[in-house]
Amino acid sequence: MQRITTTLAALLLTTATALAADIDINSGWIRMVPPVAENSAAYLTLHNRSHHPVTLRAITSDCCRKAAMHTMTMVNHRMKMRLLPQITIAAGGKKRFAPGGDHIMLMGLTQPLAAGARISLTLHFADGHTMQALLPVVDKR
Amino acid sequence: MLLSLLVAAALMMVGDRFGRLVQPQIPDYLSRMGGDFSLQGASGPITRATLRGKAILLYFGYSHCPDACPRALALMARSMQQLPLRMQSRVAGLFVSLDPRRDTPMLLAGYCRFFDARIIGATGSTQALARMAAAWRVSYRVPDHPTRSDYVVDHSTFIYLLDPAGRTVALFNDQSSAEEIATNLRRFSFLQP
Repeated sequence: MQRITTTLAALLLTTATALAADIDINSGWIRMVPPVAENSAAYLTLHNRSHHPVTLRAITSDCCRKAAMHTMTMVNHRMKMRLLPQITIAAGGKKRFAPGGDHIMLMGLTQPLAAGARISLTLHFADGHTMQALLPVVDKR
Repeated sequence: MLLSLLVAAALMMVGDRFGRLVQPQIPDYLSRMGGDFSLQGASGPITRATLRGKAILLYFGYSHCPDACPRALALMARSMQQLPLRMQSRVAGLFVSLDPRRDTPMLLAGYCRFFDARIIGATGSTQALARMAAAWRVSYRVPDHPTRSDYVVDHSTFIYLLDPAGRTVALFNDQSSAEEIATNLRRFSFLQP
């Protein structure tokens, strides 16, 4: 029941403001990890509603020393995580960052993540535009 | 006298048959896995003998893992929490960090405690980890000379179930449900060493 509530909260609380580019952010949340953990992951879905492709280049946040997109691929039963320098979303297309797949890795957390806290991420696009996304921390235990 | 002998014989036959029916079949490839190991936890050495008597969920990973390891440990925790109260103390988890350079036993204890108090964190020397990983066919790669502190450790993501005698009896992954794992914990936690 708590998981359903927190998932609903994640869907409702994700807010984003776009500057010029017509991009929606949905289903965004950040995984609550042990206080001793250095890293966590942010997940969200980007929907490019514009008529041209957009390229996401970088993500920054005060919650961590560094944030970066990563891919996850299973090669011979081994999970390989690799840096994803950028992703291009086609006009009208979607990009999903989700558990078990591509995600936004948050490295060097500056303080422990508290369930329900809202963390601001800044998405940097290749054309110079930025977007703010406010993501809730969700306890998935 | 004859009647009691007949009854006893009948009961033995039924009992034997029932014993075979409840004995779970363990696939060959699992029965060839496992063995003894020598790791360090926050409270001291962790070996196969340390865990004897409980059904164990075993997972290999590292604390800097942003996605796979928190998911696996949360799944292990949820599985154990689904068991009836009387069985809660008959199970435990073991999280083996393949990254002793960054993961100390103390850090691992704090890491695991977040998910469930029954999950033990442990690590060891490169050689001890390599031996244990080989025994459970774990595929992994730790950079030999990382140039930065935020390096990645690639690793396989199976969750192994060990019975109270330390035998590997079932295998799960991130697609397994807590219900499925809990069912297996219930099945195997009663086996006698």
